[in-house]
Amino acid sequence: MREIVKVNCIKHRYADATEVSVCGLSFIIQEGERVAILGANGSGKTTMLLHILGILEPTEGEVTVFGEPPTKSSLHSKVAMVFQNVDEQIIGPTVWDDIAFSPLNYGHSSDEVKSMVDKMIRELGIQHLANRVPHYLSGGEKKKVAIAGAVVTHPKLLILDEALTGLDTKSQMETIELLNKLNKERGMAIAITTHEASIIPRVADVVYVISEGAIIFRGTPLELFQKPEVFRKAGLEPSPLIELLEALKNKGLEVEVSDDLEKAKRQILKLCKTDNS
Amino acid sequence: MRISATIYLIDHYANNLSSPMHKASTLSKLISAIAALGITIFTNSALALMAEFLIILTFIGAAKLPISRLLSWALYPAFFASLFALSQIPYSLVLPIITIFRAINTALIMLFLISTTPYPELFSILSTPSKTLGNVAFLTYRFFFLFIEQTGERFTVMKARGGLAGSWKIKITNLAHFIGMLFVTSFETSENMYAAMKTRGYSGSISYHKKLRQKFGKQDLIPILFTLCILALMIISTFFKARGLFV
Repeated sequence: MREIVKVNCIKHRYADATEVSVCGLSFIIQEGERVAILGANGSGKTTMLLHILGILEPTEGEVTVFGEPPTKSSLHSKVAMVFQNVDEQIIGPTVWDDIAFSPLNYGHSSDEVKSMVDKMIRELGIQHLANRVPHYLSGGEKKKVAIAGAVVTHPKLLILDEALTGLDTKSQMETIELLNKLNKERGMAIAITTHEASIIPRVADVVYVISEGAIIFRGTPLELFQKPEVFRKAGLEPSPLIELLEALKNKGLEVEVSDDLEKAKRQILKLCKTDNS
Repeated sequence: MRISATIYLIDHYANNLSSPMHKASTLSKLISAIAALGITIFTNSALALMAEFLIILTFIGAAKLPISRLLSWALYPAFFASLFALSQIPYSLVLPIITIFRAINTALIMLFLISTTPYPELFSILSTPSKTLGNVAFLTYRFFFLFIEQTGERFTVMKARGGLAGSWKIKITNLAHFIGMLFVTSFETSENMYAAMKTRGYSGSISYHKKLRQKFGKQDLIPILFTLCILALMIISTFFKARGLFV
């Protein structure tokens, strides 16, 4: 697999003199990979994403996207982003117009734009929203519209900043399904920041954990859940299931710490049976 | 937040209601409104203005818009016009009626236009003479609703935290802080919007899809009929007034 994003120990100084750095392990996204970036608020997740998008430039360190500095305008159509507050991202007066925003900016003809937008709307199953005005949509609907507006130009990488935060369970599940579908069908790489560990197994193949400006962990979701101390170091709480399995393991019982509910159930039932016999 | 509620309602009527008038092209509605406004301003017959008032209400009803609500909004300019009309009563009884109905009809025509035509469509016409004006209108629309939503939320929070409960001095200080905070927030919002637009290929100019500008068609018969009704009324009134049969 080809490396499409590489971030090496970056430092950025904001206008108000605040300095944010992301060092430690190198951050790498491979082609078609689903990556989750886990960290507490203020850990540097968004700063790193803004560097990948070329919105911020590092005062120190190196960022490359498709082997080039991200500020290069030719990269803009390859990388798309869904921001934390989608209200600030939806610009068009109607959903249809908003999805048409990027293709029009990238110089596609009117007929191409129409076909791209109509196809996108069908693909995401949001035909009923096409002529609606964005400020009358629910949070989940706005999120879908923002994703449609971001991926309509077929980017190779979609970045989502806390995109699942604040959604109800149903909307969260629908958005996750949608992202996985886009990843599977288009081979589009996805990078998502979050502070909710519970969603990670459903959205990521690789997880990075950022703590106080340093990448402290890289591995699969399973590897992460087997190291609950990483969560605590990052100022996050592992799920109650992991805490329970960890407590059992610390008592000397033979269990594997994992966030898989079914697996945990089987392990606990096995322990109960052994205890009874 | 009465003003924001009114704006939300007008926007809702324009976007979510469906009637032949809503389906008519933006340009035909705009021309029809300008023509109706011109006729209203230059008519000097009280009876004709009163009849025009009824015609406008009929078309408002036919467009499935709530007549009483639009009428209540149109009464605001009528109130100010009535102050001027009162001063004319000693000299004429007809002139105050003309003044008041002219104000109400003008407001109703404008409300009829904006309640049947979404703001961006109306302002997309601006992009014909000036692309910059069109861009400003396109962006202002979303920003405006975002802004009134944020303002509403922050105002509620301030009230809930007792920001308007103390003495006048405290209230004024809190309101000043509120306005200052709004300024900072709106600046931040505009920066975030710009960053989002940049990631979506914005490079200084917004292109419009032709979907925003509809072509003329049979759906435009309603605005044409509206203008013709008012025009016919005014021709009849001028004809009879010249013979001293109309006031």
